[in-house]
Amino acid sequence: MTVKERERQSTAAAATRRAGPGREALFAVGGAVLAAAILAIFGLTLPANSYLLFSGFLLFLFTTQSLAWNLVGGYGGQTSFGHATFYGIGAYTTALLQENAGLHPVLALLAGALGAAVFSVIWGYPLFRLRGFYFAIATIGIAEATRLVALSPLRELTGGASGFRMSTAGAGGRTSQYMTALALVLATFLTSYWVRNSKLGLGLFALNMDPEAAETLGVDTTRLKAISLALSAFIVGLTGGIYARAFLYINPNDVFAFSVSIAMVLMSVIGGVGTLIGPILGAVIYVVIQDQLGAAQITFRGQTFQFRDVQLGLYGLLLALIILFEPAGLVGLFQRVAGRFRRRGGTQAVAEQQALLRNETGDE
Amino acid sequence: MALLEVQGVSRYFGGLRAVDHVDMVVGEGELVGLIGPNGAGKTTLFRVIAGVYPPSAGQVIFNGESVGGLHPNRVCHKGITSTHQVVRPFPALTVLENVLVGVQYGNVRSGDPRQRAREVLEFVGLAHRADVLARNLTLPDRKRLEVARALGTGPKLLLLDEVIAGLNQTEAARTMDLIRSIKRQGVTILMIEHNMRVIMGLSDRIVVLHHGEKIADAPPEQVSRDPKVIEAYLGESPVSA
Repeated sequence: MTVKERERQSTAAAATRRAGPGREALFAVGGAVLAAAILAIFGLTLPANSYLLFSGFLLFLFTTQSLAWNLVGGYGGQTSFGHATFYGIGAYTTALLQENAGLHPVLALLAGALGAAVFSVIWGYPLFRLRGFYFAIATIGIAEATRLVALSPLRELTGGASGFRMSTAGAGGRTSQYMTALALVLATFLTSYWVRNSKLGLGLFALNMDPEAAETLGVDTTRLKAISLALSAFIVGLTGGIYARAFLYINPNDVFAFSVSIAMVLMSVIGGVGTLIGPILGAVIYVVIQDQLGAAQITFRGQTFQFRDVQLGLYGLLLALIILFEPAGLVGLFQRVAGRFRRRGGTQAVAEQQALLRNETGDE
Repeated sequence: MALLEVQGVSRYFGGLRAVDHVDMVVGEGELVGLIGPNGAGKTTLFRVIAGVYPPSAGQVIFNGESVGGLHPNRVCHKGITSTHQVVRPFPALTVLENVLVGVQYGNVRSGDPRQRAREVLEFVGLAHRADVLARNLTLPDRKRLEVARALGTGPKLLLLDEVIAGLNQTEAARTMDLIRSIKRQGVTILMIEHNMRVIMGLSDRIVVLHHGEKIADAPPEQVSRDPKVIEAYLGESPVSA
């Protein structure tokens, strides 16, 4: 890979990292204010509006997944198209332990998350030898394999194609589900912020930009990738368990679906892969699109197109456009626009600098 | 006492013998130059020592321990760090963060990492660029950063691969001073360089590779008079210095 290519690839990771310590602190304060505002708006109005309650619940789950995917896919640059496997394992482990073994719901949730993390370590180590494209393909294989195993050989346990139904006992009301998801998304945001500024984060950014250079400097790249994948899997596993407890019905074709994996990639890429805020922006946009267009259809020359049927194609197109024109997603776009405004304000300074440069080189 | 012993090391790529049965010793505190015409196998030998390639045959003994075939990160933790011939900074990290990677993951990990990274930058003369993104550095500064990053890991043995090539005279002189002060700090250095004046001026001893084989191993003044070396450089004149 040439230096140019490496620089291009890492622009995304750098998008919000170029900030000095002051700017980072601003992000933290901004994040806290945003979180407080979300709590105030959604938290205080929650009993009054049950539609908002449910939409909020979904938004928080998706945002959590997007942030969690970004830990390994963004910071570490290990593009996984197989995160559905963690979602499904979390959902099924939680549901089965709670229903069949009578485990306490909270313990069942944690067991589901732990199961997903352990599973990630088992296939993560061999797969991390693969780079880029090959790793991405392999993750699709893993997720599809787990779906098929859950669907057929484990039919007795998972309910196969007809799914698995849970009793309503211990499901908790909409309010408690909402609060659980809210707490999880805030915790995930803080985790993401912490990783970004930690030794782990620095190592991930380094191996993302240049694995060979990172290894020469003592970074155990395989270990860091495995740690970040396990952390990511743990969080996504939690969202699976929470989903199962909220809907009381899970099906291998739903929870292990390829579209679940794709959604996580999409949200991060739309918002800005490798950035702190990007995955949140991406999740909001994705959820709004799904919510507004989920049932939309268009009739063209007597043929009716359902959004549901063409969405993967549309998202694919969007993905391609973003990767081509703005690899740092919305965050990159905002920064570019902000940079242009700042430059317009600073034309005076630029002119002075150019004059200085001309004098130095003796060029009239 | 020998810090590094290269014993009969070979590295083949298919049928190509890039490094062929090389024996070499680097003593503690020594500064050894590694020279040879293009394609002589110098960088390959570096990469074998650093763990990027496992040796096809032979042993690399460091501090009395075999390190041949270990992963680069493990080799780094033993105390060997190399710079890259083509500089490869982490472009989207700041200069300070670049050094911080080596400080936090390297061989010596004590004290406040940011403080240590700053000290290293001070030492190599990059402190004023600490908060600049590495991609915005000039080539001489990138080369300095490459050295700073390696120093950040706290190496006992530093492998410098052409850190002076491509620099103008002023910059080259500065970097030579830097290498001397690294040596004064007790770091053992093995360096590849094409510029004869540089290598003759810095090295305690020079090892010459040709077609993957060692053809000379002697103090600078002796090497420059060695007929085998002159023949290897046929057409060039290594004695011009």
